[in-house]
Amino acid sequence: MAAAENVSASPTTSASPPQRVRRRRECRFCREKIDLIDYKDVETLKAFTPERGKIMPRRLSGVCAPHQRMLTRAVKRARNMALLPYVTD
Amino acid sequence: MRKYELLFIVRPTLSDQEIAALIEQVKGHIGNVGATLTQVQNLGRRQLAYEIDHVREGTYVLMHFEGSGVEIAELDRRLRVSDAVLRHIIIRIDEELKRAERMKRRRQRKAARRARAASRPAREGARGKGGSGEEKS
Repeated sequence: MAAAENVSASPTTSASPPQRVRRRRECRFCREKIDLIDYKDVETLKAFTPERGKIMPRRLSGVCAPHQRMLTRAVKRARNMALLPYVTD
Repeated sequence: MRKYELLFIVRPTLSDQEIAALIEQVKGHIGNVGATLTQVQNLGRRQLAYEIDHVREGTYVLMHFEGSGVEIAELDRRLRVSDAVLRHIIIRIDEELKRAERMKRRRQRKAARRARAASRPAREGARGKGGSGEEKS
């Protein structure tokens, strides 16, 4: 009984690790309220395919999962139609 | 009825008249296979991102049409056979459009809910954050 109380109390007493002050950015497509990512919209897609022409990972771009799915699909379609390169050297 | 989008690249050696003729021909194909055309748009000449058939340029033509889905195979075959078409893609867009519509509605609902939540504490007066507590009393 008493032990249980101690356990529950301990996390509150321990100091929390220093947290980096980093503001959580909202996904770009969510912010701009884009519901459909068009594969013909080359300028938008280019922003997510840096120099090598690879698709930028979510952890770098901050795009949310649903929009990333739409984005990858659009990029692949665009590549197929020669709107974006498959390889760049 | 399903909605489709067709985008194809025309070989750059074709003249404007020949392109116009080809567009008419493709329109004919769409009609022949039993689909209804809703939109045609010549997106113009554009540099290709990579070489296709030793050419680096092409004219992009976009078409929207509606059909039941069985016509696609035949249309696809005819485009594939055509020498003037470098590449084509047929995409079903009705489901994507529906999904986009759903997302839009959800966002509007959320915005409406936020607006209501924001106006309620103002009416109650004193406390702003204790929403659940106020509802009980």
